[in-house]
Amino acid sequence: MTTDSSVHTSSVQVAPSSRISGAGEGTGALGAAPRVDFERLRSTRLANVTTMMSVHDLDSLVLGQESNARYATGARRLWLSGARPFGPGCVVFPDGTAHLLTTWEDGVPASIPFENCYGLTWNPSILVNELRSLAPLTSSSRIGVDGMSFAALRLLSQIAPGAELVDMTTELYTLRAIKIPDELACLRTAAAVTEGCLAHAMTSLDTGAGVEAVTGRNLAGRFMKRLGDYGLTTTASPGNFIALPALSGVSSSPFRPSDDVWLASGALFEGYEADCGRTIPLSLYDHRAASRSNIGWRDLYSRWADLREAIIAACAAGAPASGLLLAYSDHGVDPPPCPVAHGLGLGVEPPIIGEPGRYPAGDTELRAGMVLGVTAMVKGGDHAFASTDTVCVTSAGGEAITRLAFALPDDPPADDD
Amino acid sequence: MTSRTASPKREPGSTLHPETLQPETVDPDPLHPQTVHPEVLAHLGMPPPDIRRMHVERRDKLRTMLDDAGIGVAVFLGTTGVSYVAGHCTPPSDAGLANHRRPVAVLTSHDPLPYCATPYPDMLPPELSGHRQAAIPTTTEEGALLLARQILEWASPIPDAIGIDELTGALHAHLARALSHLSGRQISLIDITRSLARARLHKTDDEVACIAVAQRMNELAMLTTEPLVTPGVRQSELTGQFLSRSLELGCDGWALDPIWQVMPHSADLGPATTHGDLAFPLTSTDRILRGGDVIWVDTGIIFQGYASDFGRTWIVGARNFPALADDAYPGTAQRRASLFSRPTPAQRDSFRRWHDVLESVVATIAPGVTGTDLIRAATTAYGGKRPWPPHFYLAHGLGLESAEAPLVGTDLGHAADDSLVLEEGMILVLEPETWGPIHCGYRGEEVIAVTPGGCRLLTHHHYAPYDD
Repeated sequence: MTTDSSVHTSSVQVAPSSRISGAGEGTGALGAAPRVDFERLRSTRLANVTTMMSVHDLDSLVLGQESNARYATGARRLWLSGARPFGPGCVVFPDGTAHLLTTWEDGVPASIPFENCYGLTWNPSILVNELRSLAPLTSSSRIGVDGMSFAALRLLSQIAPGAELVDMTTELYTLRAIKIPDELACLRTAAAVTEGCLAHAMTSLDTGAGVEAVTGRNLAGRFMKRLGDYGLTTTASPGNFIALPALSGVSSSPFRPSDDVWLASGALFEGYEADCGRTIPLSLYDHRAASRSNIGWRDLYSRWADLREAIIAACAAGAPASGLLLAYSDHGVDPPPCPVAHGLGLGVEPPIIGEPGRYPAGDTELRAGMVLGVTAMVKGGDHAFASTDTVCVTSAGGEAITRLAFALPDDPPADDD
Repeated sequence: MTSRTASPKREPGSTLHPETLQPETVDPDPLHPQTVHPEVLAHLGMPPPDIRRMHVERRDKLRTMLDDAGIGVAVFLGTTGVSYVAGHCTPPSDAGLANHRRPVAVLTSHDPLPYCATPYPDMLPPELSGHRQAAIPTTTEEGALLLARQILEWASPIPDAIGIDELTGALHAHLARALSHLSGRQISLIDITRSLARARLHKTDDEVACIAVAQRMNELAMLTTEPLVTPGVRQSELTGQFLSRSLELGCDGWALDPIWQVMPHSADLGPATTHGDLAFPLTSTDRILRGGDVIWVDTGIIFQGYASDFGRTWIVGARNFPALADDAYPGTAQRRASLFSRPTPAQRDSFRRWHDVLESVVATIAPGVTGTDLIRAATTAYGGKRPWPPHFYLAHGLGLESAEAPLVGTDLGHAADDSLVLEEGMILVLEPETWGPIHCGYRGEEVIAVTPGGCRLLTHHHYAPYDD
């Protein structure tokens, strides 16, 4: 959408203060200068939303997805798991006035007067009355929405009879895809947190001794505990702590000395998700020679390193999203049975890059300011090696903002072949 | 669940979708001691759930409800709907991930088993291994077309109306049109949320047992969290300990960000609310808890899709939590011994009033009793007032959602409470609260199953430090 790109460009031009970047990544506040200028973050995001509304000639925007409500308002509401049916959780008008579904002011930014909040109710007629008191909504002829449900259809037809409901799901994702500098600061913090939690989980594997007693559940638990130490509580999921080649799930049985343990998760910082995944090949840590694997580790490792480098390089502004799949085929590697990349921001977002036909994101042009979670996995013999990184799309190629080292033993593995 | 088989070899030139090549689910026992900690089942107080039987009974029940509503083909994309009809245990996750990794199930009239397109093939029960397909995105127009094609392939003959439990923006805009276009007939979509809700309202014995398992895991995890409730701990650290232990005990994830809310000593301290009553629940942060803070706890973890609901009130630094084995958490005994906070007489009194309300309502619960009867029991025991805030309820249901029907005492009003008649198999979570200035009150939750003769409690957790 050509009209939309001007919106993004103008928003990207907000320059971060050099003092902010100098503070590094952390979750705490700093007196001299904030690590993230949340006020500027909120106002820039809201301006992007209202610009989009004017481009699409919307009189009001009714948001049900928590990530969109957070993008538009900065509201921090209770995290609930799963996809939820669409309902009017937030209403935005072209002048930037926002109304939020919340019973209390906790988590509502100061920029939104508490009078603009409407309380939780179980009664649709109470909700209808609340929303009817918003004059610009009842008189709207075009209402943007980010989802739909049968209940919401009934509700909106009572509040604004005859109004045209315009699905803005894709447009909102398009808007959110390009990160402003303050969003990148949030993502970098999330990346640092994710890495710290993963590193903490890895410590229960890195000696090889007693690994027989460690399960994916133990690793997932250590991740969550470390997250709490950082002052945070939410992740994209319980994470993936399992033996490769499985990439998703938390295993319940103890790892075996020959397992290649996959540790991957994504911590949320102010709603922003950064994913990181690393492999710990247990056989490389097992010093009992008899059980050492005789696969060509050097070969597997270098094939994976080449693939990872290629797939990150493919995250270049102007390149097609299908370039990431091409990186796999160029290296003679079958892509894993899941998307090899997806957008990251206020949670997982498009483009979802995977099997052509299922996730038809191949034509999507990657643009500077996008952030992707990209996965590189290679298999060889009975072993596999994988990584997931959070990568910023730039004109010079991808820049990985996850940089957790691959904790291979100091003693380079000898190839037995 | 772990998959331990080697990945099947891909045939050269295979056109199968890669996601259909996932290994079969290997561990058919969701209650395997490696998955569910033996201590969870040891104290369950009822036979453990038979997951396979539960799947069959749920499907049969839902089929009956859909038949009653004249629905032949039904599409499920809500997390609860897919779980109910297919036994698909979608990993609980952030909405962003859930929206883009959404399984879809289709129940037809010619096959007792549903078909399922899922990004998580390992999470489908083994009996559906021949009924699964690669994931279909539901947030795009292309996805809507793929889904329409898939529905027409699975459901033959095609009825004029297809039931569906949830919509996305893209499916609302494109699915009916695509179905009509591809089939050459006018096909409309019908809301089946009522049929699904009717089926889910009464739990089978195995569903009750799943809730009991989740509840037991939740309570055991709390036993290792309570010793940390000392001055200086952060809310987020309690979350970390609680979820960490829950994962080790066998939970699949959590329904909500755990709540450890510090209650205000005065209503004026806020935060402000739309109704002028107390705010609850507030999101946890890195807040550092202070000695003597009164904490209202509210958590829900998930097992086989079913949620627990745990509510208790704690006092930071109180030393009355039950002793734990010191070797499990070294140092906690010493930490506790150095502390001094105890409930004041006013705090004990607020707990006693809460407990009176609870006992009064529990004594009333039986098939045939109405929601209004429960409200009367609660308000009579509480001096004529309602011991719960306007935005909540005296009781809510529990199942695949952490708050679902039946609801008692909501702003739906008297007619709704009058028309609710308790029946065997319903689950109620009673959550009265007795907040007052200075003492900060007591709030706790009790999970209760309605039985033919009355009810049985699924909550078996202590009330320390209030009840010694």
